Amino acid sequence: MTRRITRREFLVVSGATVATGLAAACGAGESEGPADAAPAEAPAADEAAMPMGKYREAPELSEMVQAGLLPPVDERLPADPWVLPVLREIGKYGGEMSSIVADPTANLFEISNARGAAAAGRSYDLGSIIPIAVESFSVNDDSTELSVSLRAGQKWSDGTPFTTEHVSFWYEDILLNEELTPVVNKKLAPGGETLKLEVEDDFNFKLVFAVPYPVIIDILPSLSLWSPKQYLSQWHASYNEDADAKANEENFDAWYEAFQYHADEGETQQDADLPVLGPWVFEKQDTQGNTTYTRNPYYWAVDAEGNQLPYVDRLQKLVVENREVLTAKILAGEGTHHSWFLSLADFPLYKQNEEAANFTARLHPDLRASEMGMAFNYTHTDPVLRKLFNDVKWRQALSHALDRNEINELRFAGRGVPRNPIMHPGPLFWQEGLDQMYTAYDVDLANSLLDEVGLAWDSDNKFRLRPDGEPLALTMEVDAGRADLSETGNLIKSYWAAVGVNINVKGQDQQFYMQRMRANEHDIGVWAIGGASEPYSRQNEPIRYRPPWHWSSTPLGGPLWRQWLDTDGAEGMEPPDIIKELWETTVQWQAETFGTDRYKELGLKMLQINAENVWLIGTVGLVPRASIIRNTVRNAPDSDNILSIEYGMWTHYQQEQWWIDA
Amino acid sequence: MWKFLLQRLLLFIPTFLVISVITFVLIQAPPGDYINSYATQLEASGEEASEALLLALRKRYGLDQPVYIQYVKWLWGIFTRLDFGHSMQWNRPVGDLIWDRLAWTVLISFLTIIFTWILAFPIGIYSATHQYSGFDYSFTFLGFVGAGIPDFLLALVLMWLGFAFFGLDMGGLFSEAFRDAPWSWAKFVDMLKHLWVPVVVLSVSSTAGLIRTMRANLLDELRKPYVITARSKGMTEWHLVLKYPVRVALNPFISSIAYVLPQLVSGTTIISIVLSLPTTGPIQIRSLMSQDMYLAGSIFLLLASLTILGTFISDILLAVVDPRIRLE
Amino acid sequence: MTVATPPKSAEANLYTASQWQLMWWRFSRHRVAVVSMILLVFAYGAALFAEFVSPHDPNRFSSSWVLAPPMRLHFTRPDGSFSLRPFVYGLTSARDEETLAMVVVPDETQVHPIRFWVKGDPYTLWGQFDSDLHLFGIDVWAEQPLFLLGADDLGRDLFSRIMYGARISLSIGLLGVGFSLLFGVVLGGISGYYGGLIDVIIQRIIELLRSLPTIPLWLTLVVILPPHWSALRVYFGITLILSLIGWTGMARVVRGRFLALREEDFIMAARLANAPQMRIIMRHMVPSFTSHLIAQMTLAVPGMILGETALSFLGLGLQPPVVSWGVLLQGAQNLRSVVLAPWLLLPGLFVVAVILAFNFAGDGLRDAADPYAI
Repeated sequence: MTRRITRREFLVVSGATVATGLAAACGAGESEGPADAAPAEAPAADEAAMPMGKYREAPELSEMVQAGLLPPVDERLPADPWVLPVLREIGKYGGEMSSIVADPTANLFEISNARGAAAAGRSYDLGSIIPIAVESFSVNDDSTELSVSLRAGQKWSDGTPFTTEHVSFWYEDILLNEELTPVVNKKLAPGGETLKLEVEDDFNFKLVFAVPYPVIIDILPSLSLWSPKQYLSQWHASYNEDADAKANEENFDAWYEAFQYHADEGETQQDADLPVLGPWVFEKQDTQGNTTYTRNPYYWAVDAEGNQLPYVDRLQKLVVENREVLTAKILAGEGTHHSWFLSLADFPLYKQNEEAANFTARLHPDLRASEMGMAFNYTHTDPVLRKLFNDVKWRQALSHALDRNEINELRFAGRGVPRNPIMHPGPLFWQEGLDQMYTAYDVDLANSLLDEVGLAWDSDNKFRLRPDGEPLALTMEVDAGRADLSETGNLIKSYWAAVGVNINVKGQDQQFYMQRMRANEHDIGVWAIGGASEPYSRQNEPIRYRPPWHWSSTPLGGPLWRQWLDTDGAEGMEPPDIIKELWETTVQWQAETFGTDRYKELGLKMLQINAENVWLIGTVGLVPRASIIRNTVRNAPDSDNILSIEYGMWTHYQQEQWWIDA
Repeated sequence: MWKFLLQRLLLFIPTFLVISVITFVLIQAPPGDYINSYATQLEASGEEASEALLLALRKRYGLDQPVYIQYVKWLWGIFTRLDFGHSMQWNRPVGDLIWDRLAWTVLISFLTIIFTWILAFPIGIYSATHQYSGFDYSFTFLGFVGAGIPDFLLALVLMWLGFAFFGLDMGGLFSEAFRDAPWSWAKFVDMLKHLWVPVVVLSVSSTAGLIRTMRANLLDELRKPYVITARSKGMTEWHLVLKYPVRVALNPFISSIAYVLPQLVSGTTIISIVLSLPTTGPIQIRSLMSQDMYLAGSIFLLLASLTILGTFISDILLAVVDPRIRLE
Repeated sequence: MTVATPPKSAEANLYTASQWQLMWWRFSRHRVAVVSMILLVFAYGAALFAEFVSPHDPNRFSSSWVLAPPMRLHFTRPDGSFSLRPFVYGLTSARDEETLAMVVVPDETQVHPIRFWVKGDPYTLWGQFDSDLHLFGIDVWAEQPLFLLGADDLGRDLFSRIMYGARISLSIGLLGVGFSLLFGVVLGGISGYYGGLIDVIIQRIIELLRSLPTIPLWLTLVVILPPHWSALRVYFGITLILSLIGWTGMARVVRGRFLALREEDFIMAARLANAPQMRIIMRHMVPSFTSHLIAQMTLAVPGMILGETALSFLGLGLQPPVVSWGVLLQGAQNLRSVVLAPWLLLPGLFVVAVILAFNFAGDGLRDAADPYAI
């Protein structure tokens, strides 16, 4: 049904509590900085009623201060709060932001992006990484240490000061605890050894790595290196001897289950008392999954005029049971902003309802390399097929046989770019035209290439025969849950049939399909090929840079090559030299400092090898993403702004500075 | 009578056990488990799912134990603590998730039965007393059409019509304004505004059958000698039909609970997905797909038990209404 | 189909007519049932010869005709002259760059008469006979489409797809009922024949199955179907699952009839006349409940067809590229179709029509099954 991203649990288990939304700030060089902000309108807060302080706050908070329920805003904010540049104008307090999801346990980026507070975030131009929830960070010269300074006076949403105590708790009692973290995420164990924590004082700590680890900066936006000890320690066995009994009382079998239940700050969060650092705090979730978040009175960011953020009072995640009800509700004008669950095919429908529902539907650049990519199984058990797949002419021929323009018109309203799934043109080392190699629609060329490969026609002149004279029939398995893939698959089937290559498209249960790929049992591996950002590729596997595998553990094509490389030749099948060369290049590229000449040279080499060898045949990429934003929402991104899962969707358009013009 | 009741009641317990076994076998039958489907999700989102991690997760959720132990643990929890296990996908006890949903399923099914009766009762009588009349044919035709329309299609079209022409907000059971509000008269009215669509859609498909049954039974009764006797004694036709034959022909209505209930619960599953209703349907299909086994299993177990309970109730009612059954 | 009513002059024949003859007479008096039966014959005929009846290859796509609305058949030319042979206008299309919708409009300068027995997309009938002959179509079939019922989101001809879909959807009904019959007769027969404990157990199982909510049960079962099964096996698997509930009804009828018939006078008479057991069953009992079974089967088909659409709707039934009515409806079950391309819901109309026909035909058969009733 929907692509579900529930990394929360995984990351909890593996020790890296992900910040669900990655906050980031406008880069210093941005033209739309605070200096250019429209003339400020006075915030709605009644100044007369407030004791004159340095900062101003939302009216609902002033009331609580007056009632004695909260300390004054100047005391709640750190001495030197984070000054967040607004996108266009200083906003007014009030209102609510909401969005709708068609699967209660799925991540609704529209809302979850707003809630995170990671150590670092990405700047507006996506190029640099800046501190968010911490004062500053730096890496030493040989990239073996990351030093972090916390902001003095910054507080959790329950008012507890945020110090290195919370970092130690995360490190000692969560990451190093075998019950809570049975397997440490590879990201936190560079060189195979879990990173070390050195606490210097209340506000300064260091992460020390066994090997040089320049990528740490790139992963920082996806990490939060702390946990609310003041609250969670009551369920932790190291702090509470009766933790197991307490867990039993709450109907859990063991203390760590209760701990994880209370520590959950993802889509299934239940505990409203869990302190957080982000701009909004979980309030409640009903049994259908409808969730409300309210303003964090201790949020540590202000706008250029000293108004405490966020502007918007509440966030709402609304749950419906299917996509059509979701569409109906969107068309009726419910929710403030949508994108993740929109589809390009419905765009005419959105446009038709724009006026009635008072929203604007836009298209934003997205970075997916190809909506569909096909890799042959280069380590196929059948030697004839294996030889055939490894012939580059075969791959070129099938790439030339596709009419990508028609696919683009049929499936993507002509708005995508016909291309092969080489990276999107984002990387520093991009070279024009790489993605266009062997993509021209040319049936004659395809036929003559296939003739050269030695594939003769059968007696009916309908399909081609394998070099050994057997009929050539391949099966293309696609995830049955992805109707779009099987639809496009059937288009491809007819294009390839036109050059005599007979394939059978088969919808397959996703799990089973992946199992088959791992077991080297498939003919053609198919998946949507994302366009991971350059830093993302560097931090995780550079999967987009070394097809044909695409994934690390479930290779689309050639799983035995991968096995051979992973086991240093002990198992699997020895890959050809070009694959070894590509592998070596990616390893070197990952270790190289970002942006150097050598870095760019290695990067370009990877792209060229990929483009020339056509291991992955693509269809259409860079298809724009639709968004719908209610016209009353201000400071939200425009259609020039990239909206891509690879950059965390809305994350770097900080929602704490959005406001509702009622 | 009491013996009869006791007999039926005693039968309920082994039936429940049989169903629980069937349920558990069924939800265990697909290859893989929740952890597999979870790993797939991880991979699809670009994370790595190592064997060690999967092993650890399996241990945590008790999925590494033999199936029969998992079954006994589950059943034991249900009997001793009414604890239906833990939903892995929702990170919550199953009990927290299903009771409201079950209640809505029962409510919608119940309302539909009532609505179906209100429709089928007079139409059935009319059709029987005016056999082969124009109306009889029209009702038969409409009934069959109703039975022939796939209910999801009808619901989808109704939802759109309601939205496009009446500005109704059709998804869910409440409008945005009332979703969080405490119960009040206004909220109740708002609920009724949403509730009629599923009730009508479900009734459309089940009314036809009931009309046919009512008509056939009443026709049989009307041909019986006692009716002729009564008529010859000068009893008014209206009085006569309602007083005796209709009463006898009513039995199928009561026994219809037994077979209509499973149908309705079934229909509710689909309608709820289309109309986004908070019943067990949507959550069941989702849990089945992700192999969240305790959630999927508990829902099926409870639905099956409920429909069997419905059969049981209709048996009792039938015994109360019709003395002949008691004597059997 | 020519025999409409029993000839009045031959009233005496009534007493000597065979049971099947009586049934037929009685059935043919039920006009709606007869019409329904004819409709079903047509429907199954179309399904059988889908390749020939369809003007297009159901998988032929074109970006130019995305969501083209149904074409109107014209009889009056643009110049006002009348043409007995219906014709359609050619289509032109362009994308609206603002809304991204493909706008397909008729081009009145192109007139394409519709002809019978025309050449068109080549096909292989039943995987055996190569041909390119179609029942009807237009001469310029290679460049211009004939969309009687419009086109889908890949510009494929909906009418052709419905014809191909009928093959799966209609056969799933028959096959499912066939399975039900098999289970029903065997288990119902065993139950009625042996009686005692076996009878009790089978009756309990039937009761249990009947009281389970079907969709949740189907869902749970469909998930079990091995994922590596081919489309054909999935098709059989789904049919089997659909008939899992159906057989209980069949078994009840068989058992009930069996028990009731044993007490009938004519069976008693046959027994007294010392007819052998086998002859009693085959000559006297089976014919009298065969007719009931046929009626029962006819009435069970709609449930199967609807079941298939419901499973497809939930995404658990057959999957594209297999074309069935359920699959077509699943593709159309979105607001986009309802609002912008309502013709995509037309497969639903076919479902309703066929189910209506089955219900009426079944009704007629049920009445006819008992020729001596009033």
